[in-house]
Amino acid sequence: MFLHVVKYRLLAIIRDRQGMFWMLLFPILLTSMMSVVMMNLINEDMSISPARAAIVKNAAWNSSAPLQDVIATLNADEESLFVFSPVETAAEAEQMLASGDVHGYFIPDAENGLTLHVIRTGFPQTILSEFMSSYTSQARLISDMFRTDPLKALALAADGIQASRLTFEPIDPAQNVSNPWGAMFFTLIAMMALYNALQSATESTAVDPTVYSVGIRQRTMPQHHISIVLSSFAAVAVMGLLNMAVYLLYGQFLLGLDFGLTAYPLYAAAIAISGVFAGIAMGFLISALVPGKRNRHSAVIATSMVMVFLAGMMVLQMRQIVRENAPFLKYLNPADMITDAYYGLLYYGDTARAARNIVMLLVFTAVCLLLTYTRIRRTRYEHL
Amino acid sequence: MIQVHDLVKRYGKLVAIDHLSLRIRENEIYGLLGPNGSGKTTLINCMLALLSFDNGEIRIDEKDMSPTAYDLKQKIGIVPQEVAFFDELTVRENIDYFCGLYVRDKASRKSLVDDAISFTGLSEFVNFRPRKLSGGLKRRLNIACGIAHKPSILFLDEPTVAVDPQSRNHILQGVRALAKNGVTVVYTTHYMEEAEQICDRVGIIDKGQLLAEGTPAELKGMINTGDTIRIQLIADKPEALQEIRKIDGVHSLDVDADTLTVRTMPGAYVLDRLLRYLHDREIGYLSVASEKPSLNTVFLEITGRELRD
Repeated sequence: MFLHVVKYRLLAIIRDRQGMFWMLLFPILLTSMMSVVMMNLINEDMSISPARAAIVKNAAWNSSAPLQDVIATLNADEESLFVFSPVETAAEAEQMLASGDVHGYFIPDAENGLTLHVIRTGFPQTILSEFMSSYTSQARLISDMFRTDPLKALALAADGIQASRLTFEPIDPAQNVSNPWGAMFFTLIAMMALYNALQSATESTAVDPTVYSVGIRQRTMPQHHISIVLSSFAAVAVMGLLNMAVYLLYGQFLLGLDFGLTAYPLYAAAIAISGVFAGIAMGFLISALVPGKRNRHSAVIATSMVMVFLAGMMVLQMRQIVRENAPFLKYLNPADMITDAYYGLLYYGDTARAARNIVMLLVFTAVCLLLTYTRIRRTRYEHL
Repeated sequence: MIQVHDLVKRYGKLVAIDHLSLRIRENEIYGLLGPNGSGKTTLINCMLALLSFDNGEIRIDEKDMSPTAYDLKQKIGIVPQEVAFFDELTVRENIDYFCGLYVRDKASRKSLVDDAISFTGLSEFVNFRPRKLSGGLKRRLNIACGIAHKPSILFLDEPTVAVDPQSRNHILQGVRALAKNGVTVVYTTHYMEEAEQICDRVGIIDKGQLLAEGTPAELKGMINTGDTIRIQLIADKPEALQEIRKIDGVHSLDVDADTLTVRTMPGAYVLDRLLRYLHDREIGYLSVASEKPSLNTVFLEITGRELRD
């Protein structure tokens, strides 16, 4: 029975043109277009020189040895994306900015870390902003830790963890990250994974007698309806994984994006697989909570888009903003987990971070399925 | 075969099934006749264990019907009111999919699917997707999906709604053929002609209650009216019409615009006297029609309203 249902559900999914468009063609088209746009940006604007910034040597600068170390380290690195020019006063920095000698300048602040001043927007300014966010949040984290748990902070200091966290690490070519702007595409992988929720919502509807007559027929069959649901889940999973494989191979080998398939194939695959499962499980949960087929699809699309937006799609700094203002959201947002896993893996070679996110995705999947099962078991069909 | 005893089903304060009891015999076509909203579909959904109920008992083949009574479900086929199949699968694939949830063996399933296709006259359309089928063919596919595993009990919930006459005849002939082959059929409809045409016994349901039960002839024998005579008049409502009630053998009289409807006592021959009465008073008429009592007449007499009200 299991294989029988899987076979026919797969057939139905493949023939559903609209579903296949959203789950495969749309992400591929979007990625292709974004790839072209980003490559043009890189060629025209970014490949010329690193982002130049002045930094004011005020009292906060003088009292922050870690900041001075970071700036010195980055200036010493020949492949750094930054060139920092320490200056004595803010007026001097302002003059350099106005004359175009720098893209922006930083004023160190004992309370808030760093403040960035720019007069234009563009890619160098975005990189400087990213540096500021990264430095400020890490500095605040350690500062808070000293206030609340000085012993732990000292232990971290002893382990040298502060030093590494306080450093804004540039892309390491040795890690085979061929496209430094790939972070934008990680959110697309997340979107691709979460769009599987559309298909699982369709499958849930097919066994729900309140919204679809096929559900009535399936409920009268001599099979436990949960077994039919699980068979449908398997069909959606197979299709979702195939779509994801096509997408990743297309992105990596035809568009030249780095999805980690060569440097970290196992981790990259595990992130994609757990992401697909999370998307499917999310679709089942939304279907269990939202009545009506159309409402379900709308809810799935809206939820997916909000999640990928919060994970940094369109506004890269959004992840940082969420982390600073609503850190608990990262435990509820599979798109953020997927993006963070690829980001950590491909930008920092941080396999532990990737593994942590994979585990979180699997936990998210399990929780969604458990809640769905509980909800379905309690549902009484009173208005067929 | 199917026993429903003192069934009560409430939706909040609304009593959808009100202490209903009935017994459906093996190999008969049992019609559940009632207007829309009378409780027919709710009753069927209770029988199929799709709905829980507040009181009563439903037994099939001497066993309690429940959501996990898979041995009973194996014997049952269902044709829901709305067509129930997948738009992405072809006619054959749809039938095979649903049949496969009852029959595991591929070889025997193939022959069952072929039989269902042939039985419903869908042989020319096996590779069509449902969206390319007409309304009538979709209804036939709906039936094929419900009968492919050769159930011994078949529930058909208004299978001819919005169907062209040719497909309707095909469906009705099919139902009769299934019954001849030993299938017990529970057939809900609000078309009295269908119930009269194919059902061995009919239960008339209204407001969740079983008002009357019997063969169509038995039901007609229960009422106090005979033929219904309709006369289309040339002039509107002449005053003298009310005196028609006094004619011997007239049971009741309705005058609606230019149409005179006279119901007679059972066995009374009134037409001759009625026409003479109109002639004597120089009341002109365009047409005269006389109808034998139908199940609609039965329903009207029992409930005071038409089946399709």
